[in-house]
Amino acid sequence: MAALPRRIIKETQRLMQEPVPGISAVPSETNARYFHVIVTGPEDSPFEGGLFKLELFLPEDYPMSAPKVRFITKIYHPNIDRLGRICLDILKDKWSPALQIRTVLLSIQALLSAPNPDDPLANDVAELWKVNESEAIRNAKEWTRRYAMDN
Amino acid sequence: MNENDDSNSRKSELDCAVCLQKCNHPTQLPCGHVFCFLCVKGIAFQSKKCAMCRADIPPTYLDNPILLGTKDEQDNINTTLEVNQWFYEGRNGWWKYDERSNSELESAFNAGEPDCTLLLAGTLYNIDFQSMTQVRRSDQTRRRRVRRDTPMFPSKGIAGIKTDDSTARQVKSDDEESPDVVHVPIEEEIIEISDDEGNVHIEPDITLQDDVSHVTEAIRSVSLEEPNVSRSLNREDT
Repeated sequence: MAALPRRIIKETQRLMQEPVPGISAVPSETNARYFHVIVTGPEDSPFEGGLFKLELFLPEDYPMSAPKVRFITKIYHPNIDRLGRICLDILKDKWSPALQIRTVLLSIQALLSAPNPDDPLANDVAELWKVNESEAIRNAKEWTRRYAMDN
Repeated sequence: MNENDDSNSRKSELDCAVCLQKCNHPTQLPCGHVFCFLCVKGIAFQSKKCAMCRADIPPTYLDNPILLGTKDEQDNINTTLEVNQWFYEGRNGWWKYDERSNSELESAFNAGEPDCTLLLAGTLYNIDFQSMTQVRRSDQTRRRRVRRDTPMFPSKGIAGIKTDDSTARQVKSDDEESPDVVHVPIEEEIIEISDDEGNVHIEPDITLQDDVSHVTEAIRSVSLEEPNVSRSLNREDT
């Protein structure tokens, strides 16, 4: 049994009462530290029109350490690998306890708008993104259509 | 929806950005940002950077933290004098728990719960009411005695802020609107930061790694759910 720190309760309530447009984060019924997340693909990105499922877990020492976040929906992105792991500095060494679930998810949504192939996690994707961006974007749109729509 | 941003920034002037509650013993870092004393302790040991601007926190900062005494805080202390006070054992005496932790302990105790979990300075502790001990959840060997007594029971101070020399009290009883800056020396690290042999060992990175490694593994193996950890949100929100 673990009590839930007040900070997590506050964040959860605010996520419910004032949801971020394009982002939904709902705690699991069995574990209040585990969130089911859906992020909509940003407009004017190859992910537009897609609904991407993620999972977010708040470790015991949150907010001193960052939430663990992973894409569940397959996504073609140079900074997200085939297991859904995300290369994002604020989830690693740039984490600050003043960041919150909502700011983390906004950053992930922003990462979809601004892929960074120079700091890759999925090497093959990043490589293609650098040498043939239009084909990479075509792939990303195709994956979005195939995996992130109608599910 | 855009108005939310406005209300956020207004709230952040009152609330500590780490715990998202009203600043408890507001403490100012050299960069000027203010957090609860215990929140400052947490970030000073873990990231060692300000949570707002990432400015480095000097390693010696906690030897001489800048506490901002306000009238609000004075009121806060008066309120807690009317209730039972919880203490944890330090090297040469007892420390009071901070006001917020005290009220959480008190309500768990009065509700007949067997124990209470507190997030103190970024670390989870379990206070067991049967054995009257406080144990760090990530390291069960870190154990301290606790007691529930009248607020008059002699103590070294509140949550590691030494107040028995009354320096801080004098400042806090001033009626000035603007916060006073008090340099309060901390005699002993609170909450298991130094053990009773006087060896200071903080090792935040190692502990952190140990704590979350199973979680990281869990993420890699697709499911994170720990069904045994369940607690209604509404119930917690008192």
